[in-house]
Amino acid sequence: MTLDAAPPLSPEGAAGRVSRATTTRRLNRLTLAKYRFCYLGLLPIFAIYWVLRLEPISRTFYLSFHDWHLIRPNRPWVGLTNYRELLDDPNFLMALWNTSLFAVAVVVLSVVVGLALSVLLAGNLRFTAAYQAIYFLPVITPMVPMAIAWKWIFDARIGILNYVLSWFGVSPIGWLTSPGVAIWSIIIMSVWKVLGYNMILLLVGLKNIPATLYEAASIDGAFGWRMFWRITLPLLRPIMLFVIVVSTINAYNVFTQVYVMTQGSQAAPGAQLRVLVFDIYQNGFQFFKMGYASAEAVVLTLIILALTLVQFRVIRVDEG
Amino acid sequence: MKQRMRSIKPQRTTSGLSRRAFLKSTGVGLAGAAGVTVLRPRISVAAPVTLSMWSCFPEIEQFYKKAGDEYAKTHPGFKLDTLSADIRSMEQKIAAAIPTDTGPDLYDVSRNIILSLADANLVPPDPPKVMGLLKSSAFHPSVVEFNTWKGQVYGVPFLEGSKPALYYNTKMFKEAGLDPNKPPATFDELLTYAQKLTKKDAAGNPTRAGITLRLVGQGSGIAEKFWYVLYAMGGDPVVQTKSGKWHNNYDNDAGRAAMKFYIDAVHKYRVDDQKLPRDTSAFVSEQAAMHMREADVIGTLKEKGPKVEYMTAPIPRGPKRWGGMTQPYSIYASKGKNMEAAWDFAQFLVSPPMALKLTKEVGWLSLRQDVDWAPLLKETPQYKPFVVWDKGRQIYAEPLLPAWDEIESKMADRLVTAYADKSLLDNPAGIAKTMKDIAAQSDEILKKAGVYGTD
Repeated sequence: MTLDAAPPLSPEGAAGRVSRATTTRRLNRLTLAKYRFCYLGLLPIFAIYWVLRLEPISRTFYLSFHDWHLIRPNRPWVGLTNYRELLDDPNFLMALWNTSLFAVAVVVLSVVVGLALSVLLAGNLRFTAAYQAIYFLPVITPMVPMAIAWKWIFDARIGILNYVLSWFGVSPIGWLTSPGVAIWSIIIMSVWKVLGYNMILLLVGLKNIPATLYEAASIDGAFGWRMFWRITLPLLRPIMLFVIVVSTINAYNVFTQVYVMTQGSQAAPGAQLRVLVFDIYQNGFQFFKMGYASAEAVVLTLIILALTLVQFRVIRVDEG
Repeated sequence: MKQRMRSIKPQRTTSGLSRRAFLKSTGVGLAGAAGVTVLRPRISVAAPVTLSMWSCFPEIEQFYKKAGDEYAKTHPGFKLDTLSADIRSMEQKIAAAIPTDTGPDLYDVSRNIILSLADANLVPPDPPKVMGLLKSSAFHPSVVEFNTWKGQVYGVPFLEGSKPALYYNTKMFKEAGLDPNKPPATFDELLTYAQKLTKKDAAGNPTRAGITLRLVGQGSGIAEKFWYVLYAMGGDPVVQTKSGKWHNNYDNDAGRAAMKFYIDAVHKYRVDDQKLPRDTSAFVSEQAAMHMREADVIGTLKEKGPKVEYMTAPIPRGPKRWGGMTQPYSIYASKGKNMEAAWDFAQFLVSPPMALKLTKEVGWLSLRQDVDWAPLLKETPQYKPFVVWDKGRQIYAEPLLPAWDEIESKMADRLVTAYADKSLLDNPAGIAKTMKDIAAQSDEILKKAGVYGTD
């Protein structure tokens, strides 16, 4: 059997082939033009991102290997010396401990309580929108005035918290001045601030769970907690992962409320509330040891990165 | 043929003046101007100058503005733009702005960062004219020494930033049966008086402090106040050896005694408590009977507590020493085209009339020693322990160390933790260990700065 050669093209066929080739060329040019347009369109924002994010990050990394003083002109390369000194620095270690304790407490409390609230609000409650607005209000309120307000709430003598507790016979507590209590005061304030955000996100996740699954589960005899553990929680995993990761990152970057609450003579003890970002700020902008502060910032970044990867691994969503 | 003579009419300019009249008036005008130029007094009309001034004392900003207006009366065209922030924020601004040539023409700031700026050749030393003022009788030699770094003098000494005194409420003294004319003279008496002045509730918790101490918060001020007691006990945060090296001077009996004073005050005699209002606001609101602080409290009391009946006395003696701290704050000029004008204005700011004005209006003391304080003392006798220095009372100053702020700030953090530690009560071994640990941190900072030594 001989293979037939391709039959000669008719004039119409030849014209069609030419037309398709032209179309293909046009399409390639079009695609190229589209890509070019997209990249050009992204260029300004990428330039801004480079200047505001990537350049400072890479610069910080570079500074961390130098004995870089903000004022002095001599800034020699010191290799890993800054990192080695961090391991022996009691202030850094205390800040690391305080920040980790703060982060764990805030994440656990804000996610658990946020989940509880979102489950309640997902039900057939009246005035749900009003409750959502009330819980979300602290989220949109600026941190500095809120920290100042809480400083007054926590005041041992004239604070409203101790006043209310006095109705129940509780003697005045030094919320910001007693050792061991001060960090929990900051945690309470911080949970109050982020609770609404987590609640809204989890509520969205809850509302996206198909009702048919619950109906099917109830037909099979599942109710209450069992339904929650078997249906709700597993299906909330993607949102939970997002909430936990974002909460962890924010918690490790705690600074404003600590700074505000430890300022002044009527303030919380600085040592007991030392957190990583404050330590970085003090080393960099009070003692002008930019190289050392940069090393600390790099360590903080690596810690958060590691935690994020761990969380992705543990709470990963099985696809398919 | 006769030619008719045409009459020569005067040619008129467009203004209607004849040319002759115009030329005549112009000539007269020019002659007049020349005469005025020759005859008028030789007053140099200075080119307009706008100086920018940054201050770490927000409460003094108004004084600077008024001083600028006063100076402008004799220096037409002079203008002063001011900016103020708290001391730490201003230090950061200065540290960022001066190296990048975006700083002000003049600034007042603690000496802390000036040493680093001087090492980097970013602040000019005093010119001969300013040195003439400093070497005159206007300033105590110790003040000039304070401003000297590596053989050069920097800045024009402006105000006394740290000299403290004991403030006490005379009404509370009378109520407690104490003679308001006999304030405590020693630290032992201070504790005794404080116990009598403290008010407590039924459970024994203080409701009014006998003396308000700096027990909480953060910042080097905590260590500075601790140094009032430490100095009296015979110690200092750091001390310089003969070879020019530095080491701690409070991991010793003096340091332990100073810590014991605080622990006894808070946990044994309970004359103060971390939960009580504190510092100047407590004294002003009459929630504390005694207070150790700088002269600016007088200004605060005038403004916020005019009805408070109080007097002042020198900081009490200790078993080893009797003294008061000094921390001159100076005004520095930046390098640049306005440097000369800046130095001139700085000298104006510290002139005797302005020195008196500063103290009267703001409360901070001028550093000039040739000011006649008599009118001020007549009006406000509470200034006496600040301006009249008793014989035998010593003066001590912050050390000339670039790392000093770090030493003091980190010492403050550890002190706050120690003050709250009840286990240190009647626990000499615990106090000794605490002071040893804090002192070790100070020595570590000195080692990293390359200036540690004990010989």
